[in-house]
Amino acid sequence: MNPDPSHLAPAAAALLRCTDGERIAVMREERWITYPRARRSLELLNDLLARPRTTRMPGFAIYADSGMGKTMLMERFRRAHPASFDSAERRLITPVLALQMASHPTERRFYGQLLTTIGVPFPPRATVLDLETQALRNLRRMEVKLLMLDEVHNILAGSAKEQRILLNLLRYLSNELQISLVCLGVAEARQAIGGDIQLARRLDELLLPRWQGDEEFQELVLAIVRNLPLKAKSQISARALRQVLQLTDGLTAGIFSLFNALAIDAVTSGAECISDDSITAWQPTSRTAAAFA
Amino acid sequence: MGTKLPFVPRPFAGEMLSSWLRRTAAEYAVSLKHLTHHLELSVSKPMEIDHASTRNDIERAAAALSVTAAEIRDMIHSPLKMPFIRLREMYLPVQVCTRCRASHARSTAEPVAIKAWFEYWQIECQQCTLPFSPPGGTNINRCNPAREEPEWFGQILPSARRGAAQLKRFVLTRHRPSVSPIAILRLLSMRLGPPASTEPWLPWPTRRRSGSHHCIAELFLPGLRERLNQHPLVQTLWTERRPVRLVTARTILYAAMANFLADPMAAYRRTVDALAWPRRQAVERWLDQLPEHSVRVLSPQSPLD
Repeated sequence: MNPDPSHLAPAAAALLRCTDGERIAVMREERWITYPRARRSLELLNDLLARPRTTRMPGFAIYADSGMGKTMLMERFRRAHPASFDSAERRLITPVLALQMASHPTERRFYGQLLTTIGVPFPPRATVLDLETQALRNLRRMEVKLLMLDEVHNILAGSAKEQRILLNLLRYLSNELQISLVCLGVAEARQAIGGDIQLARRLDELLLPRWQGDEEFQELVLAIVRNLPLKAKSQISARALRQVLQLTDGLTAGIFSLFNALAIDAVTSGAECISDDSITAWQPTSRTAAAFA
Repeated sequence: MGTKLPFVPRPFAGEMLSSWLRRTAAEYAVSLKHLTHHLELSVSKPMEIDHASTRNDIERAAAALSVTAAEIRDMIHSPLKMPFIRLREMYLPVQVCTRCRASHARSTAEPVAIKAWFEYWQIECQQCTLPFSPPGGTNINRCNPAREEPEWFGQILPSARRGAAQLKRFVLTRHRPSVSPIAILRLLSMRLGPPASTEPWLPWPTRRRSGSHHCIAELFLPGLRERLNQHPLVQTLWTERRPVRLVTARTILYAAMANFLADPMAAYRRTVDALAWPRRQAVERWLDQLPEHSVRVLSPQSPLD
């Protein structure tokens, strides 16, 4: 069989030469597919990164329900701007730094986490001042321009005083190093960031709502299907798309895993395409409670 | 593999890995032990880092310091390839380059250790070609005549460099020359009695004083006899047990060794001819202890044949 790969994106078309087992393995791997909404978000982040350093750096607060792809977006942007080694000055240049807020973030834990992320050794009994000095010194050396913080709503796990200290710290880092902050979290993150009016005013809000049966959703499904290495062209009706939304609650992660499962079934059964029938017949192996935030 | 440090100070030319890591640790305000733990190395003390780093340690250090594993291997002492346990780099520096040390002090407050300072076969700095000085050189008795009499030492330096290279090759590689440089150094540092034919054999105590500071090496280095009359430069035998001598004695012995090995048979004949009976007997005993193939090279007329 020599299938016509015109229905696929080039990377997926190249995989048609692989065995069924290899194609299934690739589909099970975590991978990035650029869809219009993600592309727009990445463009906004790129614009932010390209801005010159000023005394009051702008930033973004990205709010979305769990499973809407915030972490993947952050990871994608970080990978698109990897660290490079300046051999003349023997230092790493890292324009984008990404980390996840700890479950119970305090000033000390935050600095410790920051230093661990950038690979700086520090004694466990170091004072907050020592940690701060090392963090500022190394972030300045690394020429960090954009600090991305995932799970920002975890700030709410601390006491009111701890929340205040941490928000002050974020503002201080942004001012001192002239870096942009990108905070990602669920709806509660808005409440956490709102604790510091000055910080909240600097961060433009970017919402990633759940998918609905509109043109944008069709573009997402088209992007997913074009990147699944199936030999035949998939035909999906508007009715089936509504069914997909119903099955996945409009969550990005759910939509991706549904189409991955359907594609694996298509390879295993030999159908080599996703159809309305396969969507109708699909039953999840386990039912996880949808995360509503 | 391993953690990459965001900043690493520039290593000095020929710097030991432990020294570089110590300076890197100071940059992050942590101890050397803490840094090695952070980098997940199996070694943490300077001596262990420089003498006993495993392949895994080398790869981890290379990844963390953003250099190649080959560069890291150059910064530690070579693994011992010869069964001469005592013939290897020292655990403490046996010499220093005063010019480089001053230059390091201008750049860093941390002490810097250069690999060649631990290698007893080195006689001069590889960076600035200045003759090495003994470490802790404030003591007048540990002065370096190689710097105080540069003219004469300058003459023997080319031979001394050849000799140092021969010894280095012998110690660090599997190269086995027909006659061991170690054995030749031992011979050259033996006492030389008054020449058999030219000077009368003086009675005790004049005899002891007359020959006490003279060694066989002076047969192969013109002008050495006059220097030995002024300074007791070669006082004890060069042996495997004690391969370290002050850099002055080493320079002399290595130069004489290179001249000796240029024509070993003629050099041995010349040595024997220059010695009176008691000394000649000592040299013959030395010859008897050599392997058979070495004896053939030095003395084809030996009873071994």
